[in-house]
Amino acid sequence: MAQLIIRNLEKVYSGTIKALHGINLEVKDGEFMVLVGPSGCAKSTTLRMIAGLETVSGGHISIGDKVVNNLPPGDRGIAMVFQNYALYPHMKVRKNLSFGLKLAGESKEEIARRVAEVAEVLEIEPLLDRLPKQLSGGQAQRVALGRALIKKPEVFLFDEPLSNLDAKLRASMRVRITDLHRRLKEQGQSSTVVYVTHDQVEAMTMGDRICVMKDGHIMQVDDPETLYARPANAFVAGFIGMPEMNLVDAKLTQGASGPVVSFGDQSIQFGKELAARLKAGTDGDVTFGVRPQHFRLAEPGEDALIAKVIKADFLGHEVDVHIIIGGQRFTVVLPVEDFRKAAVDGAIRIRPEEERVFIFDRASGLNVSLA
Amino acid sequence: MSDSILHSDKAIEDAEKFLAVQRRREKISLAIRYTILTVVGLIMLYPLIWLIGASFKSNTEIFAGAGFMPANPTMDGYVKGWETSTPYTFGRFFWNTFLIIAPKTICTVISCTVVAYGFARFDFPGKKILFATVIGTLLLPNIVTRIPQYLLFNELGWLDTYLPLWVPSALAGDAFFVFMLLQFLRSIPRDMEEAARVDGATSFQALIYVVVPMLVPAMISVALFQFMWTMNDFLGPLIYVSSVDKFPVSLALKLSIDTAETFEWNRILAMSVLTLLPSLIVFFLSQKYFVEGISAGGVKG
Repeated sequence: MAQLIIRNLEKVYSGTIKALHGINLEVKDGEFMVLVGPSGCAKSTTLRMIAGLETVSGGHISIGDKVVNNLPPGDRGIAMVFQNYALYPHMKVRKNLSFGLKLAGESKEEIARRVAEVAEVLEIEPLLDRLPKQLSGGQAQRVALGRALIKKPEVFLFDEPLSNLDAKLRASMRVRITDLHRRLKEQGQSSTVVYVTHDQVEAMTMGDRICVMKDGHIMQVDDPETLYARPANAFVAGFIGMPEMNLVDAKLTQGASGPVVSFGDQSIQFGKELAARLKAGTDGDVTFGVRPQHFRLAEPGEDALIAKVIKADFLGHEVDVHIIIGGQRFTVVLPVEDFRKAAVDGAIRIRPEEERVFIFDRASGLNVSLA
Repeated sequence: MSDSILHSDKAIEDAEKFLAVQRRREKISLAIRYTILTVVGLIMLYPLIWLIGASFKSNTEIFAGAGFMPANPTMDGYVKGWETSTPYTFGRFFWNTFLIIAPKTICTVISCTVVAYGFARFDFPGKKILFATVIGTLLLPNIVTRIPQYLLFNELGWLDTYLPLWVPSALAGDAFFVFMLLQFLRSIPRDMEEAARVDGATSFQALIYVVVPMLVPAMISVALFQFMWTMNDFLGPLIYVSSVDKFPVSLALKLSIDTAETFEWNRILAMSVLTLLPSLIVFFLSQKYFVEGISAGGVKG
């Protein structure tokens, strides 16, 4: 049973540059945890610290029930898949797979048995006698996966394993990895995973839970649905979801029947639903957030925002419309037919769905519309 | 319509004429280039060719002309030269050279690899100063350290042994090789070593199983350089080795000039040819790795 616990983990480079600011994270046994964030958010550093490839400057990491801070990578019960595969170039695939077991002093029969087993699972039997340079990217990544799998580690670490593959292969590898994780879990084997990526699609589709990081801080740890529906702050809100959530400066005032949000010369009245969610005392300058998908065309006579259309990108079944409301830019996703009918004189009348809008504190970025 | 066809016919004719001229020009330029290359190459190689030719001449014929073809080829120089004027044959001197070269080359490769790996991959206190020192010795002329070194080896009682000749190199004393391997190591990504560490290898196992196989071309270059430089080294043995029975070939060649009353030039030349052979053979056998090693290491030779 191998849960991974990180307590107050810090990383300081050359004595002064703080890359990781005391993060806390618990990955349960068998959980698929994705670390996601823009480049430079220290997600890879965190992973490499778990692996033992970077030293720990403060705090501790424990795997299972032992603190691993000072253990060499080989004794931590981990296996790692690298971004550029990192296969040993001079060894055949078979030797690449068995290198770790051989170092661990496993018997020849056991090694042969486990190589065969892993090769079957990953469908790399025909490749066993090839050198890494004779493999395609997808094959090489499968071998790299096999090298991790064969060790039966307590925790699997993935460092952006799919970013060197083309889009199609990436999608199929994604399925393969999640399948493998499910299968290991069903067989009762250790299957705790920490998976680093910068791609939010990968994060959303693969993770049981996702840890969103920024500048060495954890922004939010939650399952994909919660992350999407209830972002803790403006950063998470903007990072998760495609196209990006609209986050614009706005003014919040209390109107007759509920909160009123205004952008420049336009404003829109919301009702009880938002009023109930809003943290008490929220007023004045805020950041208003709404996903492009959560706008709808206003009914005639309904209170609405008049949006000037700048550009419309047709994507087939829907259209991404870039608009300006009260001097602020928004993106809106609308069904093609609806958009064609509604656009009059380069303008549309739209309304955000009240249940899906968020109000963020302008200074701290915290979501103040979650209660 | 017809106009344009006529016109295009003429254009094609012109183009073909132009192409023919171009082809002819290329041929001429090729001929000129190869002639120059051959002539200059021959001039540079002539001493070597003459050396080989002269080693088959009789002693009197050598100074008769500058031509390299012997009039009456004779093996006399080789037979007599091999016997030498000492109680030992030239084979003994070759063996002595081997006794220096073998430990020196092998130990150099091992020690320099370990040191370069240390500098390339680990952070330790004083690394910058230590590295500056290593590079500093690279810039230091050999000659200035000769006397203190001699005194040191004298204290150790190593005079008239081969130890002063190879022990310093065996302890990574050749900064040039450390630098060369270091440059090569820097071009190898660290991922593979990290993968090996995750697979449970110690730093040393990662070096042996993962780094060394990728470092082989550079290591062969180091071995080759060391081989040739040691083979050609005259000053080192001259200073430290005093008994004739311990002479390497470089001293033995000089020996035949010293002792004979009239120099038997054909013997000296014959033995010189033999002395050149090992370096040449080794070089041509490993030329491929050698070039790969020095070019990838960024040390263009």
